[in-house]
Amino acid sequence: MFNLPKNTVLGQLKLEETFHYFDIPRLFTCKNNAGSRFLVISTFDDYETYEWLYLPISKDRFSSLISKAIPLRYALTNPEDGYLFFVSSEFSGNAKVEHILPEQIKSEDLPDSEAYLVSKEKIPVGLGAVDAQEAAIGSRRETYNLHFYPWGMQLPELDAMALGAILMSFQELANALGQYCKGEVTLEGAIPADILEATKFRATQIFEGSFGIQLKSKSMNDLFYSSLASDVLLELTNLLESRDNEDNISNKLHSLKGRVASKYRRFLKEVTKLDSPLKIQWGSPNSERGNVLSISRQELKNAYALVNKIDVDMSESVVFKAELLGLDVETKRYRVKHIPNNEHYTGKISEESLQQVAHSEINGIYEVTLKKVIETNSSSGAEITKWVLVKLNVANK
Amino acid sequence: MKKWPEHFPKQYPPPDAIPPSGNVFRFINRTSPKENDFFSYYVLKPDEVWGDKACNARGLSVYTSEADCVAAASAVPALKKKHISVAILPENSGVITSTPSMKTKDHKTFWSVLEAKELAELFSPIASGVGNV
Repeated sequence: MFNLPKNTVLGQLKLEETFHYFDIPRLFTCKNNAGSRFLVISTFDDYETYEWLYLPISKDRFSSLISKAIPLRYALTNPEDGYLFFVSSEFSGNAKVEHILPEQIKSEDLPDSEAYLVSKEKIPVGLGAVDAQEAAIGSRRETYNLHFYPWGMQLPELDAMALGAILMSFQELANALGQYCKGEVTLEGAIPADILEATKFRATQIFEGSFGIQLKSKSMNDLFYSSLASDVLLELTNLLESRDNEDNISNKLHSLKGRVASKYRRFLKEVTKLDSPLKIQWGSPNSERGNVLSISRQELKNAYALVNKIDVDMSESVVFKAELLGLDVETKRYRVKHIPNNEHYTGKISEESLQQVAHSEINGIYEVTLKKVIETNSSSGAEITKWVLVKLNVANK
Repeated sequence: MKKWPEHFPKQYPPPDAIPPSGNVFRFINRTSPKENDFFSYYVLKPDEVWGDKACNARGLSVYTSEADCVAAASAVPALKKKHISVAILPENSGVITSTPSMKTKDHKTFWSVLEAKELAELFSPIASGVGNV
């Protein structure tokens, strides 16, 4: 049988999966005893001597190849460790192995640019690397590891409801940040489908620590290692890095505009429910990006309280002439009728304006200032618009 | 059909292999097919211990469409450097089947009762763009 290189630095090799076969395996993977996997491609043979490229690949890179997310040529010209092996062998397995850099590969020794690793059968690849940076480089996808440390938890387990709510709020926050990064900020309504697609994250595995979950961008970074998902994670990490500093959070949320504040509030709300510190490990295929951040339980709680306050302050206000139909300082509720179009508004009276509105007259005509607050139902994700009464001034007759 | 070569054990070729029909394509190492291009590895390496690859080693790799050859050459540089030849093989020239697995479904193995020299005469080169490296 055809022999893989013997007694070389590549180790004791065992053929794993064959993707192209012509008289002998031509494109295949093999593994050594230490578990290192190589993608092997035949570059020349004359029935006596054989030449090959041996590319060390991680599970993440193998997975990207199998899913046709990256072509073969890209994998060979962008090795994860910066080098690959050129092997010249005989049929018997006697071989000479040399390290080579991707730029040393002759173009005739590379597959066509549109050639992919194709298999008619499902190949079991297994889970990729836990380390976010390693996973990001292997898969060319933005990778965000979230670690939670709930009090008294011994096993890497988390309530399904709590985890589901955190993941949903994370994705909604990513969508809102995607709008900002794209320069298409809106307060409500549907976010364009192209933004939703580019900011989509997938849960790829859980791991210990004490409960860790890995999220990867669905899309891959482009040839310059940039992507909307990468920009989103940069903004998100900057936001988290503000911790509970009121000025920093306020400045960031004001500059991010749109629905980011309400979505960040919801994310913090779901995370603080765990009563746990949060550690994030961001790995990016872009070597200039990535971060590791730990935020304490108290910092998260403080940040949530601050964002709650800031979110209301940032809400959109409307001022109009209205007839006061009802006011109850006990239940802190109001009811007004918009004069020009007879539309009725009801809702809560803000704490700050209770004193000022307490002595207003029913059926009086006022300049009413309402603030729009968008609340999100934590289980359904549905958005509800509420109007908070913040000012009631006697109108000029 | 001629007899199988003496070195073929009784259980070879596999029972699902059928006589060739239509065009059969094979990569060759030169522009015109020569005897050397049609030796099985079993013949080339008579002292080798083949184990469970003994059956495949007695056959020759072929494809049943030019597109499959071009796809293989597109992914494997060594095949891109070879040339493609084609033949309509007589029904009694041997048997053919998909090997070695479903992952490489487009690839077939042909077990021939003909000598390498006879096969070289049956195959003709084709201009495919492959082999122009």
